[in-house]
Parts: sequence; C-alpha cells; structure tokens
Amino acid sequence: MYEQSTDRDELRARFTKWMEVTVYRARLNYLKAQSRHIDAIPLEEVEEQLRSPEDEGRWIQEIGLSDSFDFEEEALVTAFSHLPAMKKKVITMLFLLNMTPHEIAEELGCATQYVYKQRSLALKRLRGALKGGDVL
Amino acid sequence: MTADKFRRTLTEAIEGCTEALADIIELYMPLINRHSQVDGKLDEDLRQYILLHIFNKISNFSI
Repeated sequence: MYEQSTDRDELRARFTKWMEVTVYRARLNYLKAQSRHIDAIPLEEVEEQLRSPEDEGRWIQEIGLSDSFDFEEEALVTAFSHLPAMKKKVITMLFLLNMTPHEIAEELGCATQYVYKQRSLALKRLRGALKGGDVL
Repeated sequence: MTADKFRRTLTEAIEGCTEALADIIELYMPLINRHSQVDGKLDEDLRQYILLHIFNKISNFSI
C-alpha cells in the first residue's frame, strides 16, 4: 500500500516537472518568435529607409563612377531609376563593376544568396518594365 | 485531488478526453499563469500559446 502511494506521488511529481519544462519551452518559443517578428525587417527596407537619394549619389562617386550605366533604351533608364536602392546597387556592382556575387555580399555585409535574390528580382522588374511598359 | 484520481484524470487526458484535460489544466493554471506574464503583465496570447503547446504535447507524456 505504501509503495503504491509512493508511485502515485512520484507520477504527480514527474508530471509537474514535465509541465514546468513544457510551459517554459512554450514560453521561450513564443518570445523567440515574437522577437524574430519584431526584428525581421528586410535588409532592403532598412537600406532604403536609411539611404536618401543624396547618399545614393555619394555612393556612386565613392566607388569611382563618374556616371551610371550608358543606357541604350530610354525605357530601361526609367525602369532602372525606379528600382529600389539596394537592387540598383547590386545591379550596378554586378554589371558595371563586374563584381562577383560573393564580392558584393562581402561589400554589403549580407549573404551571397541575398545578392542572387536581389539580382533576380531586379532583372525581373526590368524585364517586366521593358515588356509591358510597367515600371514597378 | 487525490493521487488515485490524479492518475485516472491524467490517463484520460493523455488519451484525449477533453474534460480530463480541462481538469489537469485547471490544476496547473497557477503555473501557466505565472509563465504567461511578460513585463509583469499577463499576456493572453502567450497563455493561449502555452495551452495549445500543452494540448499538442500531453500525449507524449508516458505514465
């Protein structure tokens, strides 16, 4: 009888411990998800918020370019000028400065994958603008 | 709740009985409420998240 009672008390103690751990983990997961949600500002947005058009011009001077691309098509000029700052920067570094995505990633302090994504999105936008005349 | 009743209720809760689960949750509500506080205030969303987490995980507990 005594042994049975001890077993049952042990079950309760074990379950209480399990509950404490489970609740604690759930709390941690929730708070982590919350903080991730708050911090999850895309790099592109941050850059655009911080970078004014004057800064952008300064950046072009800093990297030693007197002027930007020599566009043959006017539509492309318009489309390029409407690109977000980060995409513009990535495209310029890739095609004008002939930098590799890896070098760009190091320069910008971001992942190489991010550079590929920016390039892909920028080219998609430019193609769309040239085909349909839709700039953005 | 006696030890015997606790064992029965917990077994039923693990098997999926919602009433038994409610009894178990009620028993541990002070613990859940304590962990549902953020900056000294009760966070209802956090409490709900914890409760859902318990509902999903309780079947993993082996008696």
